[in-house]
Amino acid sequence: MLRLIRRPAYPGELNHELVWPAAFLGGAVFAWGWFLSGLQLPQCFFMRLTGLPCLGCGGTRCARNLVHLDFGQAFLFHPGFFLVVTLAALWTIYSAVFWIRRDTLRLRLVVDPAYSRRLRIAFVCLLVAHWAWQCYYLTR
Amino acid sequence: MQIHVARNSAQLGIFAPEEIIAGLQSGRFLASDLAWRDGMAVWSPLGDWPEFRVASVPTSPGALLAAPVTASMIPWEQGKSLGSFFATMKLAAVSPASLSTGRFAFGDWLAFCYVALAISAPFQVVRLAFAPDPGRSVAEFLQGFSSPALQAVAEQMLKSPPTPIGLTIFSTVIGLAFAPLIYAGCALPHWVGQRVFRIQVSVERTVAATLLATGLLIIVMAPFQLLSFNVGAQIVVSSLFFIPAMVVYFRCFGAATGVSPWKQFGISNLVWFVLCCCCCFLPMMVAIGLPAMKALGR
Repeated sequence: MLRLIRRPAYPGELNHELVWPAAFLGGAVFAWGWFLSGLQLPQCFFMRLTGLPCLGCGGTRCARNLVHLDFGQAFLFHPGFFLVVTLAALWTIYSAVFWIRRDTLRLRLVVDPAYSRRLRIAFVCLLVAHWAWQCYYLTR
Repeated sequence: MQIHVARNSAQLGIFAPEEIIAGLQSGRFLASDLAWRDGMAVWSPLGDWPEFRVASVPTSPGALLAAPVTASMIPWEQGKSLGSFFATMKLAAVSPASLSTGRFAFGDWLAFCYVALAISAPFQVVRLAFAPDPGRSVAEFLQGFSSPALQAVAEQMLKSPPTPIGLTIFSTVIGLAFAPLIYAGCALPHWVGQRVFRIQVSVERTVAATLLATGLLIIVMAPFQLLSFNVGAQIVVSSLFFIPAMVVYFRCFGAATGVSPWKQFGISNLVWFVLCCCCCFLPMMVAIGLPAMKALGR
């Protein structure tokens, strides 16, 4: 269904080993600066209108807990954001190794076309489950 | 064994050898498409693969002549409608490699950019409703910072008289009316940059590609206008989307001009850096230098 392969980059392929670590590190520096400045994000517009959290609600609290290395609480506030940050951190470490080793083969995720529909449905179900968790945890 | 196929900086997918043979015969794949399978060190054109050589050669010279060489796969160039507009948007975002088949006539893509702006217009109306005076919103945002310098700037902005709503609406409408022409004008320095690097892309194609990529960005970024009730939130969300938006923009632009997106990104940065130097630093040097020379002359 999903598998990791190692292959050379084709000409003109986006340099995932450079772009995403740069975006992750840039985002981390931005978050650090943001929390240092003591600024607060405005209240979510969706939350203000409906009283329910949107899919992004809890992300800032998750990031704040991640900065303070409270991983358990960070996960509870926003499991999706926690997962993205964890994967981005792992990808950054892999990219660092890739550049240090001057590797020619790059790690890529391959989706079997026969399963792509099922994976999309699973992803949507996961989003719904995630939102249900947010509705429970953030409105307690 | 599965074979990975790529064309013009985009991966077409993973296919079985039988699919590739059928695709080469039907025209779905080209002999120049790059392919790779497990164990190979580099990607190589399908035409160089021994097992596909027979399939990639046309059955007769007549078949080669009859093949539609310049058929555009871009829906907007096949017919103008709202459906083809969104189909083009999808194509540009998901499969930018297909853009390389386009004719890129200026008129087509000017109209495309106007349609994108027309679709984004309701978002502009919401922005005007929430923040009729953007200067005031920015000042209120700056007041949130503890820095005295920013506080001073915010106070200065708040002291200035508010822009009349009529003038704001007028400038927004005029902005929307002339925006595509301004974008087209901005593409000209980029074309000069391409020429400096000896990249042969026509002016029309460069301008049309700019209008296409900008039209896509207008649609992608339009919902952010809904955050105009809070400038801080708008800046944060726009910043987060900045890098992905640049990736999408240059992938489209690169595919439409047939040049590597990285090259186009580099040229764009260089051109704007040079322009900023000419527009800002040069007059500043003249402004500072002339009085200094006069003083020395005395």
